[in-house]
Amino acid sequence: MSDQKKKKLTPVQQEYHSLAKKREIQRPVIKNCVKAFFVGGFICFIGQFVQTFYIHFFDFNERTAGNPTVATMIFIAILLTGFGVYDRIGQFAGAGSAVPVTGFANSIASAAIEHRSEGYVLGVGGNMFKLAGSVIVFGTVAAFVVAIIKTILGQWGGL
Amino acid sequence: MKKLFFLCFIFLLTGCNFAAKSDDQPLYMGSNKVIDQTKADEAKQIILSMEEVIAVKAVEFEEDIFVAAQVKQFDRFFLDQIRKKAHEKIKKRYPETQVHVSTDKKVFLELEKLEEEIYHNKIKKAEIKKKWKKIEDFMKG
Repeated sequence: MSDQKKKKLTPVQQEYHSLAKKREIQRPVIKNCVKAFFVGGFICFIGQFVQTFYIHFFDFNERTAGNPTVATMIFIAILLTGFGVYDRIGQFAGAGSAVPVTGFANSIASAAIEHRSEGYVLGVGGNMFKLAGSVIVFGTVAAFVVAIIKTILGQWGGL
Repeated sequence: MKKLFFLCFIFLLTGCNFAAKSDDQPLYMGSNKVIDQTKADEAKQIILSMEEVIAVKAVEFEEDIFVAAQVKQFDRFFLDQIRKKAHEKIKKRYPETQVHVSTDKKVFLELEKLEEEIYHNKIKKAEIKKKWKKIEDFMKG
């Protein structure tokens, strides 16, 4: 609670606030971090497994194997989102399940499923990128700015 | 609990060293095969003497030598420099050949298969030529 609001409270209310704060359950930050670390790492481990699989059994080398690997991971994530499993993983791991490419797929697929009742055009089509749109916009803008800086430095500074 | 953490820490520290120390002995194919492989054998020795390299595969065919190296985990940050260094080293030894150095896992696997087949004399020259083109494509990345 901010200081501005605190001043308006009566002394009894202030007392209550301090008491409530003491009794409040602490957020387990470190525990959440560890969970996110391990679940996120496990998702990446699966991704690495898929990539190695493609290198060993199909005609991909290390560089070209990235594309089918990402496609496979997105496909798995969307299936899990549709079956409602990914929500539970997300609840357990928090940011650990949101950062890899699977989290991005989940944010698109879940928005599309959620707004299905509003119709296909305005519902699914309009709301699909509600969460993922900001990622795309800022990703594109950031890439544009960085590319301009790199080009300018390369042209003038000879970096 | 504390003991467990300590144990984990020890494993983390030592775990990385186990894998790095086991230098694989490369397969020396010799000269009495379908195609003379002495240059490839020597290239293997040169590359394996580099500190960053754990294992190496190499095959020569006509004027080309293809070399695939497996690099230590930490040194993978400097893959570009390692490839350049390896290329220069072989080029210095055999200036008249076309040297291709790769650190790709796929090239490593394919060269391993090819080496095995050449070593056991299971492959004909025409088949090698067909495979050669494929491996060259993998190297381009």
